[in-house]
Amino acid sequence: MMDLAANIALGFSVAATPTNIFFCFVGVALGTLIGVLPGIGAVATMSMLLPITFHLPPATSLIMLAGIYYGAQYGGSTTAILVKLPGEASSVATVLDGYAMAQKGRAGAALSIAAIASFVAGTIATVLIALFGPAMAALALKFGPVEYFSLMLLGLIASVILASGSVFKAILMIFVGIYLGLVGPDANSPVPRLTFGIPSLAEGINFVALAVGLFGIAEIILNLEQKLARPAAVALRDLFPNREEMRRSIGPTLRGTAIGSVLGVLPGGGALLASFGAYAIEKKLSKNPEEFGHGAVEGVAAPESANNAGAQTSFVPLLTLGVPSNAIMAVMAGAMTIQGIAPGPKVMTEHASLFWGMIASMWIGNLLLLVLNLPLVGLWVKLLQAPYRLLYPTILFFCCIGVYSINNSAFDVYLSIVFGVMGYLMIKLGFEPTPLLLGFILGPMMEENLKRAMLLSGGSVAPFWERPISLAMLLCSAALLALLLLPSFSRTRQTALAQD
Amino acid sequence: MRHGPGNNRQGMQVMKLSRLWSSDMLSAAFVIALGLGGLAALGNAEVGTASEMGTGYLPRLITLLVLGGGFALAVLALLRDGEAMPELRGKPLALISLSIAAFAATVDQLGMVVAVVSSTLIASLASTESRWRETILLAGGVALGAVLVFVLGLQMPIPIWPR
Repeated sequence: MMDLAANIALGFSVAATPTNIFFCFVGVALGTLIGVLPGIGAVATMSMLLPITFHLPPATSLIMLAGIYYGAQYGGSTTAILVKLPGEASSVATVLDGYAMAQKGRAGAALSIAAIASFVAGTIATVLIALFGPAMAALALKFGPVEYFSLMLLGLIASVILASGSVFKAILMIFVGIYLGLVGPDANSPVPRLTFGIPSLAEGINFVALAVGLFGIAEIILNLEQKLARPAAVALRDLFPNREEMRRSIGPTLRGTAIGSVLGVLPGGGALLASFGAYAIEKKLSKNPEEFGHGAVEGVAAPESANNAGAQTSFVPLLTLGVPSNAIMAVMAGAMTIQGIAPGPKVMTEHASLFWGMIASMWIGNLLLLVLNLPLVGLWVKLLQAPYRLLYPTILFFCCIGVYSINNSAFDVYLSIVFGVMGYLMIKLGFEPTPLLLGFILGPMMEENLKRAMLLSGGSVAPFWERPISLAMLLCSAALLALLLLPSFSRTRQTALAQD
Repeated sequence: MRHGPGNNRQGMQVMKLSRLWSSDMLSAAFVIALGLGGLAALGNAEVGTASEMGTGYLPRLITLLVLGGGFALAVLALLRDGEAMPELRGKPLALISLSIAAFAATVDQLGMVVAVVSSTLIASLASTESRWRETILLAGGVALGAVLVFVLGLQMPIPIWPR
């Protein structure tokens, strides 16, 4: 317990400096903005800003990027409640009851409940990370190449669960991602591989070009094909929930936090899975399940607390095991690598102030969101009315400059066009981009661990099932695959992921 | 949009044609194209054995898996009725690509202002809602902001005007 207090104190000493509070604020404000605006998501924004974070100290840059992530969720739930438009996928579950509440004139109450539930969840999740993070890092230090390989395999297969659409297509995209990740340098060879002889590819495919292309440019093209509906915002009356609404939110918030915290840590987990899970469980537990979908306050508190808790605990696998569990964490991994910090169990020991500073900043960021954003709701709603014809050329400029500036390379900008077109085709044809991005990040790590494992065992694959931790993870992977192939599960998964 | 099996002969022919020109078939072609691209990039990279993997071992394995997956998708597309061909509209795709290419082609030599203005003007053509006067103001505004923040503020090595 002494350690815990000392660690949290260290964290706040890092996160509460004026510079870091300022960048935390910039992050959450920017995140709220893109969460509110249609047609641009957290993955694309964080990728574009990676080159700028290069100019900042490591802790500051990660604090700002993390702020964008949970700020975007906050903004996403604001639009979910007010205009039935989930800005981010993780607020899809909030639309159901949040918008119904707004139609009943309880928009302000729904917004407040969402903010308070998020804050409570964020606070509890912060403590949980501080409690269990070190234990996980200690476990990870015992991992050899065999365990790491199996863990990453599990992570990749788990990412398929979240992919909407065909499981088979998602698995193919993992392969494509791994392949793209292998382009360029190879530890065992002086000659770069898979480059078509293009010198600009010798250092590998630029992560920012890939992420901005798949998530930013493709999205713009898709939005231009269809007319974006712009429903009128609901009028805001009083901002405060009444006593009854508060009372009914306590249980769902705590349960949502618990569900979100657990689902966030799982490979492939994060905010999205957590919000759906919590919503479904509240509906099951409720004495009046028929109220759900018609403005039940539980249906706002549960997914909002769960997605925030899940967002925070999904940092745990990245920071302790070095394995990103979703696309956002893949971007965070990219940011850490740019700063010269290898994600993994050593972050906690070798960069203790960074680790604890980030954890503490999440709490500060949630506080900032609660204090600053509720009064600013009117401003965000105005921004939502900004016409897309003015927005997309501006977003496109940020895409270009972000990709260009990472290596001052026009080649990378051309490359982002290739990935933009590829991302457009993928979405049109029902291939999810997230498994590709995870494969891209995990591919080179998996190859390295596989090579080492095979070298140690003299070409035998036996250690993969002879070592207990590895065996457990392989069994989990197999069970997940089997589950994905079950028709009843796949139907549930389709309906859960297709509620837009 | 699912096509039910046809009742008359004409219907049967339409159905078979729709299987060749369907979303599933385009998906298969997309994956096979990626696989072939991967195979082409492989060149003569050394493969090695499982215990001593060469630089090309894993890439080759993955390429073969992707190609196999692509052919499996093609077979499935022939065997069952799937979704119809998605509507692919070339205009936004081409104009947005061209707009980014304009930025990439000009930024090093002709500088930030030319790059931003040209890419913004081309991008605005992609939307039917764009208005000329607004677009010109927008291009000027973004160019000004870009110069202030990225060239003067962050000191990025991009010239403001053509060098």
